[in-house]
Amino acid sequence: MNQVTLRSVVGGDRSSAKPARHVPGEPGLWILLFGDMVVFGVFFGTFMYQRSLAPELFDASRQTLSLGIGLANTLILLTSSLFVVTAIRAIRSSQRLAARWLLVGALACGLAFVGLKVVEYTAKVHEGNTPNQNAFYLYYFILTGLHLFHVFIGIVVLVLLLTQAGKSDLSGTRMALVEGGACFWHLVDLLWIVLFPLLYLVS
Amino acid sequence: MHVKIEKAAARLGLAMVGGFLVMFWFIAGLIPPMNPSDSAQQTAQIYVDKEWRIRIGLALMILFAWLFAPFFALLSRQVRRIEGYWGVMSLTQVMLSVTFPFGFSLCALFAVAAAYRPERNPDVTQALNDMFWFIFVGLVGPLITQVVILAFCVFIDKREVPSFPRWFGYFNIWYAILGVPGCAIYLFKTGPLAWNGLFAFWIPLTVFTIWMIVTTVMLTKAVDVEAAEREKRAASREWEPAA
Repeated sequence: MNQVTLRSVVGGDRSSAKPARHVPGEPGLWILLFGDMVVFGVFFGTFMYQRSLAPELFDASRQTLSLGIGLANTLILLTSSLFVVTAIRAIRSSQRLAARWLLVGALACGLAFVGLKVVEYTAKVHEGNTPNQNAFYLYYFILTGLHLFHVFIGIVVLVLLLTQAGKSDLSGTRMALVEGGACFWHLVDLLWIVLFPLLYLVS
Repeated sequence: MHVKIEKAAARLGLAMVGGFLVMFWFIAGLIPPMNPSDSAQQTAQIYVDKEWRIRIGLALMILFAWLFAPFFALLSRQVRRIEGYWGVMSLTQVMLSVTFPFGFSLCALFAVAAAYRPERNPDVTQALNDMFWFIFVGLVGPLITQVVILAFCVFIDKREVPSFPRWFGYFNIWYAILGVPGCAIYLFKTGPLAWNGLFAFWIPLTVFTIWMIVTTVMLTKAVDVEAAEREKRAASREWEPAA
């Protein structure tokens, strides 16, 4: 893995004698990523608790979800993460054109996810499954909505990465930001990987 | 003297968070929040039961909310220092800082109005109560905008000794993301996004408190950074910009 030195970024006063272990992005970024994961953990825990109060209702409602769309979205996000990983690798080896096209691919996946989500939401509302219907659908819309909010932020982040990918030479700070942005997209993916089975599969 | 005043301003913000929790939670008893799906009669009954607690607790808030101002003045100054001149970011910070005490005192005015004549038509009390929660929990835009600007400033600070560590920028983004769900309370009467819900009330309240504590510490350190910079300038007899 390419060694991006973070000392100047982090504090500037660390001794330069020992080589820094490489943290993806920069250490501070993980406050955001872990902090977000902790709170989503609380969200998931709340959902599990609510489900334990009405297991039959939750299971019956779960079966009315569009499993196909959920699965397609899972594959789309996994593909997008693959695009992002290869894009970062391409940026590291200065293959700028490849990096840009890979990021465009990741962006297309992100937009496809949003598109499918809109289709899914519209279908659910037309079937009469609204947030007011029952506790399952309340949590379904809120949890996927909060995740969708993360996807929107992630799409903005990917656009920022795209603007950086064309630069000929990235400074240590910029490279750390690019890696950090990629990590955020992986977080969006990871949250969905947990959310999908939790809502669609667990019976 | 500068340093002492500015550190006092930072700590005043922290003290005010403590004061807010005492006034809203222990005196007025409005935290934990009442249920938004309560009927008008039930809501009015709460105001009958807690009439004096609410009037005293919130009267204190209407008076003291303005003590948040020095804290945000210091925050705006630090953004101004990073930006280097009175640019868009620091001016936006100043403008939004003005709105912050209103977030607390304006909502309190509605609840005080509800508790002032609790014997009146319950529908009126319910409407005033709704306004209280809509402002108190739902008005998240100004602070989130401030926090996003602050995060951006932390990231673009290219000076030799930056005012804030970079993790503070990411911390602010974390706060901004978790603060947003509060804006959804207008759409729900039950569940986690109602005004008494976990996602719209409890998590944002917790994160806000953490943010105020961390920001107080960071501002105190930024004051030290500035003081050191000023001393260095004085030693080398450089002209000191009026920042």
